[in-house]
Amino acid sequence: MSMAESLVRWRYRLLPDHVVGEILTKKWIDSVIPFTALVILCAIFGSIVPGFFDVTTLTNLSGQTAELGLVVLGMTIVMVSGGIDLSVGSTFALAVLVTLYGMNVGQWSFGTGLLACLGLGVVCGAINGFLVGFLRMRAFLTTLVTLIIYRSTFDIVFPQVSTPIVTSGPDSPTYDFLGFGTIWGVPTSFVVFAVIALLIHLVLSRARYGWRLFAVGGARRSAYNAGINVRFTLFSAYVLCSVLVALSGFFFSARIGSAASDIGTGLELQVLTATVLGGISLGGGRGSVAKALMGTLFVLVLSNSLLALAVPGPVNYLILGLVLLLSVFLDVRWVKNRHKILRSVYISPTFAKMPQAISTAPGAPMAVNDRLKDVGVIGLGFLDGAEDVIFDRQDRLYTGSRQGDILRFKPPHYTESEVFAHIGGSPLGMAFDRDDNLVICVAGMGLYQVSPEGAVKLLTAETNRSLTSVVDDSTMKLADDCDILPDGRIVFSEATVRFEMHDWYADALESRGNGRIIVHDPRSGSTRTLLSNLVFPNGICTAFDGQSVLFAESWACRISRYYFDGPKKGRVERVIEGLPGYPDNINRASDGTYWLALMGMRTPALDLSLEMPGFRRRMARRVSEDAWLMPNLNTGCVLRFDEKGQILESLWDQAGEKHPMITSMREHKGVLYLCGIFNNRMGTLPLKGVDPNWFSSDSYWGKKA
Amino acid sequence: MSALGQLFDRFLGRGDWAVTVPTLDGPLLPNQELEDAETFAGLAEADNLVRTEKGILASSANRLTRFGAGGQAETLQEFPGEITALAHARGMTAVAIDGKGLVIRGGLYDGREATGDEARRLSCITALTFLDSNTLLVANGSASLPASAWRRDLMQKNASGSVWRLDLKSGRLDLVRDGLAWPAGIATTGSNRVYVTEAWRHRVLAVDLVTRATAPALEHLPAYPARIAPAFNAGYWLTFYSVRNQLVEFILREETFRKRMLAEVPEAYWMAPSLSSWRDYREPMQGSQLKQMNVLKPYAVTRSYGLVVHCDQNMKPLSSFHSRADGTVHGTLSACETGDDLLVASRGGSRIVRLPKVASGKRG
Repeated sequence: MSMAESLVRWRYRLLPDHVVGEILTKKWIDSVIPFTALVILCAIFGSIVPGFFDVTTLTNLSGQTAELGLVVLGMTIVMVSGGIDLSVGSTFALAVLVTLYGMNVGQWSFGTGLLACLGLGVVCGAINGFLVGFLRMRAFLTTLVTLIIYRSTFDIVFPQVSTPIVTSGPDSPTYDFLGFGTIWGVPTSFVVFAVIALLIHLVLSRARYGWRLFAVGGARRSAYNAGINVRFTLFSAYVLCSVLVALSGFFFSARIGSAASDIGTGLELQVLTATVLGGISLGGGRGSVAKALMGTLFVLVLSNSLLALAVPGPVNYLILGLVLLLSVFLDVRWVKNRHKILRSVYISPTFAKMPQAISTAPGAPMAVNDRLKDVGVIGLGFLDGAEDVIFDRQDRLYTGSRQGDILRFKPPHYTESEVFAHIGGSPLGMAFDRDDNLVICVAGMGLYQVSPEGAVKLLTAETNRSLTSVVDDSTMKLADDCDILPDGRIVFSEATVRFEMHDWYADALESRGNGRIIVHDPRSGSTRTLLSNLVFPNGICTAFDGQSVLFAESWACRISRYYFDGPKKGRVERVIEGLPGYPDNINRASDGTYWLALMGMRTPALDLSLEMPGFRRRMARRVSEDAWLMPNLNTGCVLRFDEKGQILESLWDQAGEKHPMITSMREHKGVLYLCGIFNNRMGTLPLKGVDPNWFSSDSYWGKKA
Repeated sequence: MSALGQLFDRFLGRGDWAVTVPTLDGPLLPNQELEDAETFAGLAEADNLVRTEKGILASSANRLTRFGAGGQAETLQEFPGEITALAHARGMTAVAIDGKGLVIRGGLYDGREATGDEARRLSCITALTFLDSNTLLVANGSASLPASAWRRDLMQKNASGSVWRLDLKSGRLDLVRDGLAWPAGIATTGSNRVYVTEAWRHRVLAVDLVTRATAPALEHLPAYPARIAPAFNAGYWLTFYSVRNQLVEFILREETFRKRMLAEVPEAYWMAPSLSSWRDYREPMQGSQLKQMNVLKPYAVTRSYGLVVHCDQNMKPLSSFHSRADGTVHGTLSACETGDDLLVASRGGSRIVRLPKVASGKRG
């Protein structure tokens, strides 16, 4: 191996590129940019603003956070639902007016004041909500108009009551405690705010109402089609928003105790900056409480620090406006390009040098021939997605279909078929257990069992999560082939944890060890991973020795043996290396050997590219999937090998006329049955010189009386 | 700045680094007419169709064959190398032998063979055309490779082809144009201009024999043009090696892979255009070529293709005949009219097909 090649090999072994893509699929990746911005902002102003980290500054900040934070949370709810509320500033002013008048002039009790204030919020929100939600008016224009209406109302009333407000004071200790008191050194209002924020977080992320809100904001028509009351959800979002704004006004009144005529003006700018900066999308459907809090803190830290640095108010607003503009720009770019970045980063091929292929020259056991050219046919033009085939004790033939059915064909001609069971996912490998239950791997769904009566039962769809996984890999993406150990445990392969079944070729392009072998114990119901980092583990077969299983790794072109029992328990040994094609299912043959399907053949051009991960990565980005270099799956082959890994014979359809891709084969009573998942037929080949009564369930479980 | 721009283009896959391929559209809209055409005669490595007074001449590797009107074949002569081009005028047949040069059969210069400088310079003749009974126009595909190594020339990104004027009487050889990326076809126009296909640059050039002025007549073709044959309406039949493939365009820009493939992979298994597909399981496969329900889709990307385009006298495409990814009449390198019919030789399909009545000018 050359120096340069070793370098490439080690570079791909040490730097796991695929993790980048997996991190990008995480939901929290949206918050990374605002979080970084917040940290940088604190670092900058923390060093230049005097007393930035003083207790008084922080206490003051937390009090303001409570007030602005409530408004931002309200706006978050509206924005998640796909709308916008520009009238928050005016609603805030009205709430402050009502509270101050009631508490100071009217000498109301705390409860009455709070109720009156929140009631005002409900009224203002209901007007917005009714116009936008039920009358289907544009949120932007409608709330712009209500902004002016509410502000005008305030401007008319305020001069008439401003003097009494200033000259009198409230008479409620609870009210004062809310404004000035502390709980364990933290301002009361902040504690209340924290509780409310936590509650909203739970509702948005865990409760039915929150999910509906996201659904309405994300895809209004789909939400409607799914039966969600879109109009009411929108209405309620505006009401909630205004209630939170009113509460914020109540807090403000309790803290300040008076008001100026310009109160609440420009609040919407601050609030919008906070939400958009936090990463709450203007388009709706995306957002969280954490993001709202980050945005709030950013805005407060920025404006307070500018104030402390004696920057004039208009300049302060100018800067805030520019920040808003920048975050809107980033939001638009991010939402638009995120999936593009993810797509181009997710596929990360690795160095996978292939060993020299076993010779297929004339005379060798693997010599190319056309023995599969003239085989019998079952279900021509009817089968679609028959990956595997198996027989029961009445000689009935079972296979899967792409539509998610298990089909059963009647002997002896196998022309009539019926739907034996419907599972819903694409059925792949199959096996019969001791009690004649059919065990099936279903792509994207897990391991299933069908009783002889046709009752479908999920055995397992989850295994233990691996320690180093970035993305949760406990659920099964592509359970592929299964077999049953003598003690009844079911061992099965999961080809890849990184891709869905229809993206199998992306896994071929990566050629990394993304797959694993899992064992499920039906008695205890436990499932755990036996072996991981396997390169597309595919076929699996319990060996005749009762101590080991043979498994195929497709993209690595090799067969290995795993000992589950006996003196070598837990060890893995190579059985065949350097196959000229990509191995699929392995099944027992009547004479103590094994049948192996090669779903496709290796091509020198692709083998070369496997040594060049950078080439494949660029190809995945630049070239259309239609043109990607892929394993040659248009030429199929079946071979037989013995316990030692010696290849005994091979059966080819060189031109791929009838069996271009062979995914499985099974010997049953002297006939070899051939399957291809993308084929429109199943093939039958009578075998010469084999036991005409051999049947695989007998081989596993012995003859039944 | 341009170096930086190049780097930027390379990173983003723009400009010279774009691997986009023009689509087959307009007059080039795919059909199955070549695939469905009747077989005129079976002939391995069928190529170089030329009409003579006594029948149709064709080449099959190193054999020169003549076909009668009914398709009956008669082998005229076997040459020591592959026949790469044929031309016929006034009872005289010019035969180009790969790596050896030009041989004249019949007529005024019967038995003339290339020697010395001429044989050395014209060792990769891809097309021949008589200007008059004493003068031949010769397209020499590459200065370094024989004509049979056209795939290697493409994948090496060579541009060492040239067009020559050969005076048969004096043996004088005049260079008309060099620096061409595999000139593969020549056609005269009746004026001083000739049309020359430049395969690897996907275009047809108009070259003035007197002033040597060169201008593209047809550009941005979605396929690699080969020979030009005269058509009934003073137009031309343009034939093609194969269609362009996005992956090939990509590999041409991937230096390491390209060079290693040329050095380490046997030529038959290259990811490169070819004259036929699916001859061996080691040939590369691309995504859309995967058979679904045992069917290879005609619209799959492909390395080999059958394409003949009918152009007017200004090389504007008018109509076309195709054999698509699922077909076998691929590698259609030459075509010639006989009566109202068009014969097309398919190297990949090892046969000559007949498209009846397409040269009558009465197509609806």
